[in-house]
Amino acid sequence: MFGPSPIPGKVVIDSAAAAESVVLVRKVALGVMGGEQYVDALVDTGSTYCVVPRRMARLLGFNKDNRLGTTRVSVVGGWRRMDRHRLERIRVGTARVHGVPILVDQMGAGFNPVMLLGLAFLQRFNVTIDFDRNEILFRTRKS
Amino acid sequence: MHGTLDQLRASHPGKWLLIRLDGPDAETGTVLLAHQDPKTADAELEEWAYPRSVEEGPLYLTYALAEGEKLPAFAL
Repeated sequence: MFGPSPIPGKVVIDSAAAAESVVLVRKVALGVMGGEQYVDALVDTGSTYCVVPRRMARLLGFNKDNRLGTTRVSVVGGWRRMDRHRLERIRVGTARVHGVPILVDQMGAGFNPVMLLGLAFLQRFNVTIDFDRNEILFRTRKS
Repeated sequence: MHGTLDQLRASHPGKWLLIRLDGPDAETGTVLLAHQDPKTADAELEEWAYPRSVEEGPLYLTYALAEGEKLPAFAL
Protein backbone atom coordinates (compact mmCIF):
# COMPACT_ATOMS: atom_id res chain seq x y z
CA MET A 1 0.00 0.00 0.00
CA PHE A 2 2.76 2.46 0.93
CA GLY A 3 5.95 1.71 -1.06
CA PRO A 4 9.41 2.05 0.51
CA SER A 5 9.66 2.16 4.30
CA PRO A 6 9.83 5.56 5.97
CA ILE A 7 13.34 6.70 6.83
CA PRO A 8 13.63 7.86 10.45
CA GLY A 9 15.40 11.07 11.37
CA LYS A 10 15.03 14.38 13.12
CA VAL A 11 14.41 18.03 12.43
CA VAL A 12 15.02 21.28 14.28
CA ILE A 13 11.98 23.28 15.40
CA ASP A 14 12.25 26.98 14.75
CA SER A 15 13.07 28.15 18.27
CA ALA A 16 11.41 31.56 17.95
CA ALA A 17 8.19 30.00 16.71
CA ALA A 18 8.34 27.25 19.32
CA ALA A 19 8.26 29.88 22.03
CA GLU A 20 4.84 30.84 20.72
CA SER A 21 1.82 28.82 19.73
CA VAL A 22 2.97 26.78 16.73
CA VAL A 23 5.56 24.14 15.89
CA LEU A 24 7.27 25.41 12.75
CA VAL A 25 9.86 23.39 10.83
CA ARG A 26 11.93 24.83 8.01
CA LYS A 27 12.68 23.73 4.49
CA VAL A 28 10.46 20.71 4.07
CA ALA A 29 11.18 19.05 0.72
CA LEU A 30 8.19 18.16 -1.45
CA GLY A 31 9.36 15.70 -4.07
CA VAL A 32 7.93 14.65 -7.42
CA MET A 33 9.56 12.66 -10.22
CA GLY A 34 11.02 15.81 -11.77
CA GLY A 35 12.55 17.35 -8.67
CA GLU A 36 11.80 19.02 -5.36
CA GLN A 37 10.41 22.29 -4.05
CA TYR A 38 10.79 23.51 -0.49
CA VAL A 39 8.44 25.17 1.95
CA ASP A 40 8.09 25.74 5.70
CA ALA A 41 5.58 23.59 7.57
CA LEU A 42 3.40 23.77 10.64
CA VAL A 43 3.26 20.46 12.50
CA ASP A 44 -0.39 19.68 13.11
CA THR A 45 -1.41 16.44 14.81
CA GLY A 46 -5.00 17.60 14.47
CA SER A 47 -4.85 17.40 10.70
CA THR A 48 -5.44 14.03 9.06
CA TYR A 49 -3.69 15.06 5.86
CA CYS A 50 -0.68 17.06 4.80
CA VAL A 51 -2.01 20.21 3.14
CA VAL A 52 0.12 21.92 0.49
CA PRO A 53 -0.46 25.53 -0.63
CA ARG A 54 -2.18 25.76 -3.98
CA ARG A 55 0.54 27.63 -5.86
CA MET A 56 3.30 25.42 -4.50
CA ALA A 57 1.28 22.43 -5.67
CA ARG A 58 1.07 24.01 -9.12
CA LEU A 59 4.87 24.36 -9.21
CA LEU A 60 5.07 20.64 -8.52
CA GLY A 61 2.85 19.97 -11.51
CA PHE A 62 -0.40 19.29 -9.66
CA ASN A 63 -3.64 20.75 -10.96
CA LYS A 64 -7.32 19.87 -11.27
CA ASP A 65 -6.69 17.82 -14.41
CA ASN A 66 -4.36 15.32 -12.72
CA ARG A 67 -5.88 15.20 -9.25
CA LEU A 68 -6.64 11.79 -7.81
CA GLY A 69 -9.98 13.00 -6.50
CA THR A 70 -11.39 15.38 -3.95
CA THR A 71 -11.82 15.00 -0.23
CA ARG A 72 -14.34 16.74 1.97
CA VAL A 73 -12.57 18.10 5.02
CA SER A 74 -13.94 19.46 8.25
CA VAL A 75 -12.38 22.84 9.03
CA VAL A 76 -13.11 25.61 11.46
CA GLY A 77 -16.40 27.12 10.38
CA GLY A 78 -17.63 24.24 8.24
CA TRP A 79 -16.51 21.97 5.43
CA ARG A 80 -14.20 22.38 2.46
CA ARG A 81 -13.63 20.17 -0.55
CA MET A 82 -9.93 19.89 -1.44
CA ASP A 83 -8.08 18.33 -4.37
CA ARG A 84 -6.20 15.14 -3.52
CA HIS A 85 -2.78 14.27 -4.98
CA ARG A 86 0.15 12.05 -4.10
CA LEU A 87 3.71 13.25 -3.57
CA GLU A 88 6.60 10.98 -4.47
CA ARG A 89 8.21 11.90 -1.15
CA ILE A 90 8.18 14.37 1.72
CA ARG A 91 11.45 14.99 3.57
CA VAL A 92 11.46 16.75 6.92
CA GLY A 93 14.99 17.25 8.19
CA THR A 94 16.53 13.81 7.78
CA ALA A 95 13.21 11.93 7.97
CA ARG A 96 11.55 10.85 4.76
CA VAL A 97 8.31 9.22 3.67
CA HIS A 98 7.51 8.04 0.15
CA GLY A 99 4.11 8.10 -1.50
CA VAL A 100 2.36 10.60 0.74
CA PRO A 101 -1.24 11.60 -0.03
CA ILE A 102 -1.71 15.36 0.16
CA LEU A 103 -4.56 17.80 -0.09
CA VAL A 104 -4.19 21.14 -1.82
CA ASP A 105 -5.60 24.25 -0.20
CA GLN A 106 -4.64 27.51 1.47
CA MET A 107 -3.94 27.89 5.17
CA GLY A 108 -5.47 31.27 5.92
CA ALA A 109 -4.72 33.45 8.97
CA GLY A 110 -1.86 35.14 7.13
CA PHE A 111 -0.04 31.87 6.54
CA ASN A 112 -1.18 31.01 3.02
CA PRO A 113 2.24 29.89 1.77
CA VAL A 114 2.93 27.45 4.63
CA MET A 115 2.10 23.74 4.45
CA LEU A 116 0.47 21.67 7.17
CA LEU A 117 2.37 18.57 8.18
CA GLY A 118 -0.41 16.25 9.27
CA LEU A 119 -0.87 12.66 10.32
CA ALA A 120 -0.39 11.27 6.79
CA PHE A 121 3.31 11.94 7.42
CA LEU A 122 3.53 11.88 11.23
CA GLN A 123 1.78 8.53 11.71
CA ARG A 124 4.48 6.74 9.75
CA PHE A 125 6.78 7.26 12.75
CA ASN A 126 6.85 7.31 16.52
CA VAL A 127 7.11 11.07 16.89
CA THR A 128 8.64 12.86 19.87
CA ILE A 129 8.49 16.63 20.08
CA ASP A 130 11.27 17.76 22.41
CA PHE A 131 10.65 21.39 23.32
CA ASP A 132 13.76 21.52 25.54
CA ARG A 133 16.01 20.67 22.58
CA ASN A 134 13.80 22.30 19.96
CA GLU A 135 13.72 19.19 17.82
CA ILE A 136 11.37 16.51 16.60
CA LEU A 137 12.47 12.89 16.53
CA PHE A 138 10.92 10.59 13.95
CA ARG A 139 11.58 7.01 15.01
CA THR A 140 10.68 3.73 13.34
CA ARG A 141 7.34 2.26 14.39
CA LYS A 142 7.18 -1.31 15.62
CA SER A 143 3.96 -2.01 13.75
CA MET B 1 21.07 38.80 -2.49
CA HIS B 2 22.96 35.54 -2.03
CA GLY B 3 23.88 33.80 1.22
CA THR B 4 23.06 31.06 3.65
CA LEU B 5 19.39 30.59 4.49
CA ASP B 6 19.97 31.92 8.01
CA GLN B 7 21.69 35.02 6.62
CA LEU B 8 18.89 35.64 4.14
CA ARG B 9 16.19 35.37 6.81
CA ALA B 10 18.15 37.63 9.16
CA SER B 11 18.40 40.26 6.43
CA HIS B 12 14.65 40.31 5.78
CA PRO B 13 12.86 40.21 9.16
CA GLY B 14 9.09 40.03 8.99
CA LYS B 15 9.03 39.11 5.31
CA TRP B 16 8.12 36.17 3.15
CA LEU B 17 11.03 35.13 0.96
CA LEU B 18 11.13 33.25 -2.30
CA ILE B 19 14.62 31.79 -2.55
CA ARG B 20 16.28 30.02 -5.46
CA LEU B 21 18.39 27.34 -3.78
CA ASP B 22 21.84 26.65 -5.18
CA GLY B 23 20.77 23.04 -5.60
CA PRO B 24 18.79 20.25 -3.98
CA ASP B 25 19.53 20.18 -0.24
CA ALA B 26 21.60 23.37 -0.51
CA GLU B 27 21.68 25.61 2.54
CA THR B 28 22.55 28.61 0.37
CA GLY B 29 20.55 30.45 -2.23
CA THR B 30 19.49 33.75 -3.79
CA VAL B 31 16.50 35.83 -2.75
CA LEU B 32 14.20 36.30 -5.73
CA LEU B 33 11.41 38.11 -3.91
CA ALA B 34 10.78 39.51 -0.45
CA HIS B 35 7.29 40.56 0.58
CA GLN B 36 5.57 41.45 3.80
CA ASP B 37 2.19 40.31 2.55
CA PRO B 38 1.81 36.52 2.39
CA LYS B 39 -0.81 36.77 -0.34
CA THR B 40 1.58 38.76 -2.54
CA ALA B 41 4.44 36.34 -1.88
CA ASP B 42 2.16 33.44 -2.66
CA ALA B 43 0.92 35.09 -5.86
CA GLU B 44 4.48 35.76 -7.05
CA LEU B 45 5.02 32.01 -7.23
CA GLU B 46 3.02 32.16 -10.46
CA GLU B 47 5.98 33.91 -12.09
CA TRP B 48 8.20 30.90 -11.51
CA ALA B 49 6.19 28.30 -13.26
CA TYR B 50 7.13 24.64 -13.52
CA PRO B 51 9.21 23.30 -15.26
CA ARG B 52 11.38 26.40 -15.52
CA SER B 53 11.91 26.22 -11.77
CA VAL B 54 13.24 22.69 -12.01
CA GLU B 55 15.75 23.60 -14.70
CA GLU B 56 17.12 26.54 -12.77
CA GLY B 57 17.14 24.95 -9.32
CA PRO B 58 14.58 24.34 -6.62
CA LEU B 59 12.57 27.14 -5.01
CA TYR B 60 12.09 27.62 -1.30
CA LEU B 61 9.28 29.72 0.12
CA THR B 62 9.94 30.72 3.72
CA TYR B 63 9.05 33.28 6.33
CA ALA B 64 11.67 35.29 8.22
CA LEU B 65 10.50 35.89 11.76
CA ALA B 66 11.24 39.34 13.09
CA GLU B 67 12.93 39.49 16.48
CA GLY B 68 10.33 39.11 19.21
CA GLU B 69 7.56 38.63 16.67
CA LYS B 70 4.55 36.73 17.94
CA LEU B 71 2.99 34.39 15.43
CA PRO B 72 -0.78 34.43 15.28
CA ALA B 73 -2.66 31.58 16.89
CA PHE B 74 -3.46 29.07 14.19
CA ALA B 75 -6.25 26.61 13.61
CA LEU B 76 -7.71 24.95 10.56
